[in-house]
Formats: sequence, structure tokens, C-alpha cells
Amino acid sequence: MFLNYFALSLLLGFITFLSRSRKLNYFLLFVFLVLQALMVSFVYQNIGVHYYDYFYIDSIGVIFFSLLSLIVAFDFYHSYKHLKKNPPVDIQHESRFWAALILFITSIAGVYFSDNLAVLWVFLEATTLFVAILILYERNTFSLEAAWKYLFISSIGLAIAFMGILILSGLTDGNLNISEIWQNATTLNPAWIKIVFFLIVTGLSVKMESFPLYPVCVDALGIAPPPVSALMTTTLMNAGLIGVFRMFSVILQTDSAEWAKSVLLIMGILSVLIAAYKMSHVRFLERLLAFSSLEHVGVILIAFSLGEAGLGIAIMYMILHSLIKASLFFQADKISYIYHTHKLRKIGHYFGYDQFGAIVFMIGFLGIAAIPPSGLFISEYLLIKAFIAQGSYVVGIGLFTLLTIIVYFMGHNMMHLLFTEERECPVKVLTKPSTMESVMPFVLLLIMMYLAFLQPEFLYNLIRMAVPIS
Amino acid sequence: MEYLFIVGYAATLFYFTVTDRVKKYLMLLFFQGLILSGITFFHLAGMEFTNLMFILFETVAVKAFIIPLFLMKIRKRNNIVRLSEKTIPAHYSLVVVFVGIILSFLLSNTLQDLAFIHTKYFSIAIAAFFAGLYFIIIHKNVFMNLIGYMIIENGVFLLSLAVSQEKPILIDIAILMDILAGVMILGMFINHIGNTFKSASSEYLTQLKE
Repeated sequence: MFLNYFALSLLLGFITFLSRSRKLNYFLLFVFLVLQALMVSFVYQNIGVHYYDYFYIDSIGVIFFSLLSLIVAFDFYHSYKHLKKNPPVDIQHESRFWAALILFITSIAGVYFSDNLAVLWVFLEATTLFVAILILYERNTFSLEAAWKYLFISSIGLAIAFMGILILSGLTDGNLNISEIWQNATTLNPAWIKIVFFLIVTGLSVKMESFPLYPVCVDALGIAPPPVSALMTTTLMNAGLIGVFRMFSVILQTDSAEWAKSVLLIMGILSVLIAAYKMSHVRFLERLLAFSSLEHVGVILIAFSLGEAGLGIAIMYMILHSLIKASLFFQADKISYIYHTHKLRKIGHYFGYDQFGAIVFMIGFLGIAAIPPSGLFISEYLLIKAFIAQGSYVVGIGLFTLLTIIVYFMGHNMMHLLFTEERECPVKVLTKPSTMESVMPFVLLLIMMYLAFLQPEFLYNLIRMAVPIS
Repeated sequence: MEYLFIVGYAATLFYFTVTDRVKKYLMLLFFQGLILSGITFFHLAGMEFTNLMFILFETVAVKAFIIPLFLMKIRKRNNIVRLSEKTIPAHYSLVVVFVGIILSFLLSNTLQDLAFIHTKYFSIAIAAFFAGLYFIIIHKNVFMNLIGYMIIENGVFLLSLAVSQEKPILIDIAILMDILAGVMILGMFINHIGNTFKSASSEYLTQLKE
């Protein structure tokens, strides 16, 4: 089943690419969703199984593959709606979009289950190629610029990460299997493992959407069709974070662990700091959400920097953030369509036009700003508490201050959007909102609340298994 | 013989900084591909036959012919002949690349005691990586950015020789396919940019900001 999943997904992507029938495309998408569901069931039953030395089904892969499948189901619906509202040039254009989407999702799944760093790199590079096609969907000068920058900088970033992987292969006599490197991590040269870690983390920052290569991601998220942005800022970001998580698990076993923690802490704090600054003068809704992702990935890296104590918090945070952010991007697509603009100053009084949509958006805002009853609040609280408990007052208080500033700027824009009149020449004729389009984002938020507050045992066990114990 | 190849490779890095004719850049990429195949042949002669053949194919066919010819096609389509929009004069760039190569060799000299690394390749690989980055920074043209990316990719290939660990051929093929697809798609984007803006200058790609 495992390799069949990749073979069938590749085949489905290829047929969709060649398809010249809309009905056939929808049928193929349905088949792909069924395949995703079957694969979820399969991986749950096969945790701990290796495939050909290149793949390994571990609990972190299972968690994020299940999350990917869930978000993809919602994403297909919103992509379908987006394509209805922004029709493709011709059926070939539409088929390319769906084919790229299927192959993009398959590549992300490949990253989640890769046990070999070279294979992981190959899948990450593949995500770059497919996502560039998706960003270009609108075919205007903005999408061309965003797609080019993303493709080019991602390629450079991944070349840097590949240099790290090559040096690691030298350190391990050519063995790039993560589970085997993890077992023999203590024998690795401490100076060189630092260089490897630094190169890989820097390169993967383009996938994590964190400092230092975040700008191309922000541009891409602001321009890509929102359902594509929803996948990029959740499942693709998680793919980058999983790459870092796997490498971090290795370095945690070595004498360079404290150094690696410091690197992640600095990257995390800089990401949150930049997000706080950028949010103070952001002008577009999707870019606001993109900078919010920069903030959250910063928090996740800070959680990683706590070592084993923070990894569980980070994984839970990644799950909840993915559900909320996907919901917000789906809702943002609807808002931009109603107001015919992405500009924040031209959007206002949303409560007056679409009550249900506004309520969903407000819950999403409370969620992403980590305001109770958001599940993220618990994670951030535990994180700050952990720093205070270990005597890192500056980090704890500094993080709390930055997060407060971000909540202020985010809240300022969101409250204007929801409750006050448009601040700049309002659009005269608004499109009638569709309630159905807010139902799916609402369901995602309900799932987020369920996972955050009831914490089902299966999830708790999977997270516990995912945290490496030395 | 290997040292001769390394000196030749370093010379191509210098020449990249002083010339401004696009044809010459492509010619230099062709030479780099040939030099890499020469290094591979001498350095990896004891390798398993299929792996050696694959790497030779990668360097000769892909790096020396397919990619430069593909880039030549893009150059002709977008009518890119000579570039005079470097942000830094050539003689300064020459000094920067010279200093970069010297520093790379000095750095490698400090690594002599490490068994897993061939310092002679490591030094030129690092120099090529930084020369590629520098090349991208000083040019305001997307076509030149792609050439800079290829210089970096060739540097990464040299690094793989420096650590000299055999990978399964399946992974080598996947990596090559990814890089090749990446270059092809970047090339298609350049055509797209050329069609849209009637120029391959990156100055047109500055609309996305706050």
C-alpha cells in the first residue's frame, strides 16, 4: 500500500495533467481523496515499519499525514470555489492547477515519511516546483514575481540544505538514514555536526517560512490563491519543521545540543520580532496572515529550543496552528471575493454583510492570537512558564511582550475589518456572501477546539511517541 | 592532473566576473561541465561501474551540454546578448572572487586532519558556492540569476566529490531529475517574464512590498 500510494498519486497527477474534461478532473480528485483516506488508515496500523531503507512510518509522520489529509479535503472544496470565482483561461489551465495540487500534496507526504535525508531533500525540492506552478495560477505580473522569487530562493535555500546533507554523509560514511544516524549520533564530530545543522536549518527556513528566508514565503502567501496559501502555510510549513525536527533529534544526542538549542532560539526570536514589526504596517489581509505564520513558526522554534521538554508543546502547537490558519485563509478568500480587494483599509463592517462568516473569522482570530479559549493559549502559556521556570526570564518576558504587541496589531486590523466602516474609498457593489463557504472553516475550528480541550488519547499517545528520549 | 582541473575550474570562476557577454557565460558553464567530468573520471575511477557511468553522464551530458544548450535557447528567445547592468565594476568583482578563493583555500588548509573530506575539492567547492552567490547579487537580470544558480549547483557537485560518499544510484537519479526539472522550470519562468515585461531585467520584479 505504502509505495502504491505514491505510484497511484503520481499516476493521478499525470492523468489530471493530460485531462481535458472537468468531470474527469473532479472524479480524479475524488479518487485521490479516497486514496488519502486509505493511506491514513494504513499508516495508523503500520507505525514503526520501514520501507526500502528510504521511508519510515513513525508517529510524527502519522500525525502530520492525517492532518494533511484532513486539510486537503477542505482545501479541494475551497479550491473548487476559488476556481469558480476566478475562472481559469481554459480547461488545460485548470487541469494543470489540479495536477500540480495533487503532486504537491504527494510530495509533502513524501517529506513526512522520508527516513533518508537525501530522499527528504528530493521531495522538498519537488514541493518547490509544484507550488511555483500553483502560485502562478492568476497569471498576472504579481503572481509571476511571487512565483519566480519563491522558486529561485527556494532552490538556493535547498542547495544550502543539500550542502549540509552532503557533509553529513561524509560524517556517517554515506549513511543518510535518520533513524540509524540518531542511534550513532554520539560518534559524530561535534564541530562538523554544528555546520551540518546550521546549513540544513538555514536552507529549510524557506519551507518553514521562518527567519532568514521568510520574505519569499510572505510574497507567495500574499499572492497565491488562498486555498494554496492555506496548504503552504500549514502542511508545507510542517514539512520544513519536520525536516528540522529530525535533524534536531539527532543533534540533541550529541555534545552540540545546547548550541543547536541556541540557534533555534535565536531564529525563533528573530522570526517573532520581525513579525511584530511587519504587522505594524501591513496593508493586505493575506500578508497579515502570512506574517502571523512567521510569528507562529518563531514560537514553534522557540519551543524546539527547550529540547525534549518543548518538543511535545511544539507538535501540539503545529497541529492547532495548521487547523486555525487553514480556516482563516479559506475565510480570507471569501472576504476578498465579497469586497473585490485584499487591501485591509478597503475592507470593513464585515459583521454587517456576513454575520456567520464574521463570527467564524472572529473565532479564527481569537484562535490565532492565542486568546482563550484558543488551544494555542495553553501551548504559549506552558512555553513561557517553562522559560521562567528554568530561569530564562529575559526570553520568557521578551516573548510575552512580543506576543502582546502582535495581538495588538492583529486585533487592530481584525476589529476594523469586522466592526468599523471601510477606512479608504469603500467598494460600492459587494458580492453576496455564501454561508456554505464559512461552514468548512468553522468545522476546522471545531476540530481545533476538540483537539485542544479534550485531547483524545490517540493523539496524546502519538505525540508522546514522537518525542525522542535519549 | 586533478590539481590542473582545479586550477582550470578556479579560472572559470574568475572569468565569470570579468566578462559581460552572455554567450561566454554559457561557454564557461560548458567548460565547467567538462572539467567536472574530468575530475569525476580521475577521482572516482575505483567506484562501482554503473555509478561512475551515471555520474559521468550527469557531468558530460547534463552539465556540459543539456543545460548550456537549454539556456542558449532561452537566451535566443529572449534576445539577451550583452549585459552591462552589473551593480559592481568587473575589476572590483575580480578582487572579491580572488579573496574568496584564497579564503576558501586557507579554510580548507585548517581541515587537513579530517579523514572524510578531500580538502582540495572542498576548497574549490566553497569558492564556487560563494562565487555563485556573489554573481547573483551583482546582476539585475533573471537570466544571470539562473547562471549564478548553476555555478552554485556545480559547486555543490564538487562538494559531493569532496565528501566522496557513494549514494544509491536511485537517489542520485532523483537528485539529478530534481535539479534538471528545477532548471527547466526556472527557464520557462524566464520566458514568461520576458513575454510579460519584454525584458529579463529583475528591476521589473519589485512590485510586491508593503
